[in-house]
Amino acid sequence: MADMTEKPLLEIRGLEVIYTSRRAIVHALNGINLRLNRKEVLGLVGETGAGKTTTAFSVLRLLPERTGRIKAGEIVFDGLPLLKLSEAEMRAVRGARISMIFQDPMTSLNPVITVGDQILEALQLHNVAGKSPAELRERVDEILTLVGINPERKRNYPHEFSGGMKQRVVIAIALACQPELLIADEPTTALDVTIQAQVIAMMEELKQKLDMAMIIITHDLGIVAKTCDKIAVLYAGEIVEYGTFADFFGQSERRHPYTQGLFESIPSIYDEAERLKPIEGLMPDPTDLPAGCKFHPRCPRVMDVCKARCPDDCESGTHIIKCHLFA
Amino acid sequence: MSDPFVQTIGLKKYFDVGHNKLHAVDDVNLSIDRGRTLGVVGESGCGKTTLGRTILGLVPATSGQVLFEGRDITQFNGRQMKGLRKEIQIIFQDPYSSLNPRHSVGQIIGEPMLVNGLVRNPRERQERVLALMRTVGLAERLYDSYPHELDGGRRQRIGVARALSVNPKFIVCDEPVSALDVSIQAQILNLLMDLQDQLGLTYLFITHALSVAKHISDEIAVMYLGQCVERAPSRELFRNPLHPYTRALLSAILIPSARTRAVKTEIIKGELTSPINPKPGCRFASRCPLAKDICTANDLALRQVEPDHFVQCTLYA
Repeated sequence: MADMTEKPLLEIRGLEVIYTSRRAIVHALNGINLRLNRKEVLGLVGETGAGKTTTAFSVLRLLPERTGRIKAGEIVFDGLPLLKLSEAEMRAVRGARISMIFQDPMTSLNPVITVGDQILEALQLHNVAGKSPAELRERVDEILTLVGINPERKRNYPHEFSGGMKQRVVIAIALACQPELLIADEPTTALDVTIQAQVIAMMEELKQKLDMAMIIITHDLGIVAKTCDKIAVLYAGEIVEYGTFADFFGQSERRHPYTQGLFESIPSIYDEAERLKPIEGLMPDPTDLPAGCKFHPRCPRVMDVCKARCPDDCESGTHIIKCHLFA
Repeated sequence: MSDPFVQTIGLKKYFDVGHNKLHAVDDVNLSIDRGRTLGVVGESGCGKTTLGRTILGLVPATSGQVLFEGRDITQFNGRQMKGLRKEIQIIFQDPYSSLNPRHSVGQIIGEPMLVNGLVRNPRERQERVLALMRTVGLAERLYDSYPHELDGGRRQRIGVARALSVNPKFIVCDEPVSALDVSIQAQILNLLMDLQDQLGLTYLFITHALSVAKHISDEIAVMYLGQCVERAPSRELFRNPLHPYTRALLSAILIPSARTRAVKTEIIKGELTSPINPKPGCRFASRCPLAKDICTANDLALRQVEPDHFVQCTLYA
């Protein structure tokens, strides 16, 4: 694979994360492997509770201290073993070289600080080049212009902006230090469709301009089709399918039954289907995962082996499917 | 042609905001035939939820009529309204906040029967609740469970069962699947369509997701800032969208296929303007790529341009 020769920007190997509460242990991530090259966009797809946000939080080391724990695995970013860094070393990476857009733009801004100052704060914290305050303020104007907000509005507070504009501010803060990797957690879920189209177009443009890699976390296969080069489908803390855009949206019929189910659950605007074909049942309880393949209780193509043994990653070129059907 | 089952005539709902009026629903004319589904589509703040609530009488209309089987229900008194509640019901958007957390599943589904005097004794009520739970696909063992013990899909099934508990003829579904994961969304959409077939229900289906609206609706009304800007049978609307706003909405749908990347999304600039004391003329004009001076000169009306296809736009005047 051409892929393997390039040194990846981010590599996750065998990552296992658990959350502990008094009553039970939640197995949030059960050994995931991912690699992302420079300038690539990776879509992390899955439903509520699949482990998408946990993956992002692990990379940034933002898991809740008391309950969340990385049990095993490695995360290497540009040669740096992130899980072995001290908190001070990590702070130099977080927000500067890797930054994140959180899910809800309405709650991820500080309501009592002007948006200009919130962008400035990120710049001041990571001012390694020792720029003067005037230069930093100039940079604030630059970034606001970049995300399509009139720099005059830097003196406004978050409540004076609409949802779409707030999301632009959040993106501006994330991009302030020109990160090499941007993690966007459901960046458009809270937005209306016409505003979503604006924000996605802007993110595409910025990606080109700034040469960054992105991880887009989403439950929406449409957004993935629009923006991603590589796609990983998460189910119950495992990557059940991984491949390129062509592997997912090309002619190939090879698909994990779960991915197939996701596609068939979406009402089509072209076909005149009378009924949808939903995936029966529910996501398994992460405190009590089934034996064998974690999808087997809901799988329409389940076999005996699925109940007994966890499937291996079955590779075909760039396309990896964790399913006994392809063994 | 028979009279429509539900009809609104010049329906308006204005809210007072200080000395100003917020035009949440502004002169909406709709009709739904018995056993059919009208999808109401639009973005946040377009007035679709207020429209649903005004039709149900949950908020009083400012002016206009809501005809239910030919009777104007905006003129109903309290007692008449209470009788009407057995015939019209609502399923709410958020299955997390629309269920009383201190009531068990059995109590939640059974309460409307109790309030409306539809059951004679507790045993009868329990039997009917269990029957409803089977209808909507909830296991009987959940009868004594509480909402917090259940996931979103099951909670929304409770909402559906509660709406059905009084044997209504007409249900306003206000974004019933928006809070759910896609695989669960499909389960609930199938359930609603099966129930319509079995029970002959009539739906007003409010959603911001056009693909969902197309799937479930016979006819679709597109709303923008309190007004219905286009109305057509669903297939026709997708085949031949006329209003520039409808076209922008359709273009913004991202379909999970390779085509999506190849096609350039038509992006409309700006955002929803304020619904407080709106200017005359087309409310979409400030964002419309085709706007001309005449668009903002006078108020527009919904005009029929093809059989069953109505649009409110100067391009088709």
